[in-house]
Amino acid sequence: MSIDNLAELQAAIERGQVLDFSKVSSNGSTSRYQSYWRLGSLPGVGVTPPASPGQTLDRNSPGAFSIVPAAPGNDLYVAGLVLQASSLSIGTLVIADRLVEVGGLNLNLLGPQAVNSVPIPARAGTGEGCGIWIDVVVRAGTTSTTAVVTYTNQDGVPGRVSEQSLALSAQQWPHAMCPVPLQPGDTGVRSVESVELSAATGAGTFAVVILKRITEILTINSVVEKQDTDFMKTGLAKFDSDAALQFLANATTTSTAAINGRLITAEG
Amino acid sequence: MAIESLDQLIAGLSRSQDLRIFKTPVTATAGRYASLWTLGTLPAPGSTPPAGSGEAPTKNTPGAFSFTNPAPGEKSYLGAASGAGHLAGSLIVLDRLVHTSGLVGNSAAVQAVNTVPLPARAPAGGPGTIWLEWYTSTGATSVNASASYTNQDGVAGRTTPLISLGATRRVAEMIPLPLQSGDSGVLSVQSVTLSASTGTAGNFGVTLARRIAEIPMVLGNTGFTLDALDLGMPEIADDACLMMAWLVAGTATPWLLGSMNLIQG
Repeated sequence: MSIDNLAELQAAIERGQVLDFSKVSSNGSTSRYQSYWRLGSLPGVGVTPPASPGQTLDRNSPGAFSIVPAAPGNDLYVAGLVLQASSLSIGTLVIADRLVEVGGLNLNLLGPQAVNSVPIPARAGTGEGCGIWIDVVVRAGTTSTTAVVTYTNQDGVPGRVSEQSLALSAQQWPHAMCPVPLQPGDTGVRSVESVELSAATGAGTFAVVILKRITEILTINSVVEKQDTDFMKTGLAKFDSDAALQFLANATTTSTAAINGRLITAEG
Repeated sequence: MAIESLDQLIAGLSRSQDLRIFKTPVTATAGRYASLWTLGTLPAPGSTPPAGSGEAPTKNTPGAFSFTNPAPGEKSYLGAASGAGHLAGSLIVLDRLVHTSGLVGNSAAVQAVNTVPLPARAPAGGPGTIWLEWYTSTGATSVNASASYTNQDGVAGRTTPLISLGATRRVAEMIPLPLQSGDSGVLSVQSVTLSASTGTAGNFGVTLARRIAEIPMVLGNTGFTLDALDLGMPEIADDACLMMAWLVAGTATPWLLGSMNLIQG
């Protein structure tokens, strides 16, 4: 279904949900994304990603916003965001659907590491629009590194090889997430077969995450006053009822801000 | 038909097509434009255009954002844009109308181009800028460049003012050539001339493109969130070859992730 006018939008927002959130800050690195998934307190803390083959995630997973599914025939949209941040250290808040995570990977190991992830859940369809991210679980060692991932793409073709990820900095803190560019021509991913680091960092563990970005919201004004973002800015970004919604922020300094506010949805 | 009311805009947003962006960095020079055409991964990297007269790319050309044309009688617009990157600069969204390659940087001779005709979707009178775009770096000697073209009224033999290329034009750089005083559009480009050899042949070409939107990212490690009103809800022609360029503030283009909402009505 869709929303065809302002009256329907108003009704859709009334049917929607107001999802409160409150997340603590964490150490980070400039120019890296930081995940709030395993940080408290609302939504609750996500679990440490299990080892291969990992797990799929949904709205019932610890860490996810508790979403009431839309009625049959309706869609859910991001209709607004009210945000206050404790510092200017987040420039943009990314809202994403965390689909799959596979942990237990070693940041101090060279050579291919088997991932053999579970496939993406049904809500992700063919994998179109899904991306691969490196998620630092235990702090990395003193050597910077990048990752190359072997995966199955949106057409079901296995053995696709990504380009090098955004680099993990030396001693990259937990919760850092680095995007992995897919092989040119690919537009999505269904599963991950393996990952290989360019250098052993000296310590730490990480997870491979399959994520579908929903929208980004510029948050630089949210320190001065509560920032209200309406449906025009969110573009009425659509998400699935079963989505494991999470926040990421791109860090402007060496930590991310504590954030609190409300995610406003519309159903129509 | 067109989107003429808030109701229609809302309807368009709820059905929008998501044009996903994921571009990896390239080394660049502050104050210059960098084309993201040949960079990975979303959209997929485009190829170096054909040499000589080039071609008129469309939404089906590798490198372009993929989208579905609107239903008959409807139009497409840019309804929202959001993204994040680690370096400051400005994102320029363009409809790539005609592109060529095969020009060399080690010749002061008149280099023939004779671009293919503009596609039907081009604005009346043609775009207001001629771009030069680099596919292989040229040399370190600073030279001037000019182009000979046919203007919006079909008058041939018009000449752009000399523009300095500066030292070493790198791969992926773009430079706009202003038109001859009084002109407002370009229907075709006949030739390009350098004032001297840069020292290296390299490979560059002419790109004729229509500006769609400019999206600033004033601070590194921030992003942008613009709605239809911020963008001016620019119209996107059927079959448009949408591409991006970056006005560089530092020494590279950013890791750029985001999306644009294509709305129709």
